[in-house]
Amino acid sequence: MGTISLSSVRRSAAAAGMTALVAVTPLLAATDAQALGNNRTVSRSCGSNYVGSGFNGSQNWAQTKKVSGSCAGRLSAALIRSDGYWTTRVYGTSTSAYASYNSAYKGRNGLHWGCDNCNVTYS
Amino acid sequence: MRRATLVVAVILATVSGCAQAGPGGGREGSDDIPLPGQQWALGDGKVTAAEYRTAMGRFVSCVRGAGYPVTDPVRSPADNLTLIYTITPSGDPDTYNSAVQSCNLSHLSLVEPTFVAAQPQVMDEPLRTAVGNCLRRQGAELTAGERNLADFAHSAKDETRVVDCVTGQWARVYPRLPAEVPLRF
Repeated sequence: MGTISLSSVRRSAAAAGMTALVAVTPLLAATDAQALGNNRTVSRSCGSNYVGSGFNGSQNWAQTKKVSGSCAGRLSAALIRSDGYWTTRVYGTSTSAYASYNSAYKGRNGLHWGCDNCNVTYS
Repeated sequence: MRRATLVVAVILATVSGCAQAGPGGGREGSDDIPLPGQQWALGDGKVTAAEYRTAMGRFVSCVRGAGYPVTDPVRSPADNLTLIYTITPSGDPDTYNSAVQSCNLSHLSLVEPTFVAAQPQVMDEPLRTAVGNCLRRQGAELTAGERNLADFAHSAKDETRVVDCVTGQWARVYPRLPAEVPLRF
């Protein structure tokens, strides 16, 4: 039977900790502390899009809108409802996409994509 | 140990930052690339009304097959083109979100906007009147000839105000229609 040194135990503990943190990272990345209405212009190398969302007392809405640039692809938008379910993602045009959801409850976030398989932005 | 902790922190910051990047602001995933299931309709660059209805039928069957009830689609009064429906979610939200998006990518995501973009939109009269009144109350100068979302946006010089009026009037004018309303200009 081999012996286990203190340093190897520390290395194992560090590796286990790293594995656990990396494992939960997607969960951390998938949430957003900002509530519905964190509206702003976001940029990427080929141009800028405006991402906006809101609640008017009976409807939640989310918009992804081209501001400038030459980015190719179709914009899309969706909403995270108050219960955590997403509305069906709406694929719009190369210049705008709008999703809305009629509810007395304010949704959590707008979801925005600048192309079919681009990363999501929350608003 | 301290070095390992630092490495973990850097990885977390990098991955989290990437995930929150702007539209197209970085990482691309292969999980939302439209699947070949839509090529039958998109192959000639045009989508007919019959092809759109077929694609919608496949989408609805797909969602129902995943265990979620879906109402029969009806035409949206916002454009008289888009078919709208109500899905009743249940269970784990991540499982539901993934299932519906998978069906969307397999059958509908590109077929629907391709069909709608190529057809003339006409908003139903009750909604048109309500949206016109809403925009006038906000100071927009309309021509009375507006027939669809793009016409209203052109007259009001603002898409967002039009969206606000459509969504704000929807539940009052159509209390029994599906709650999810896609809008395309």
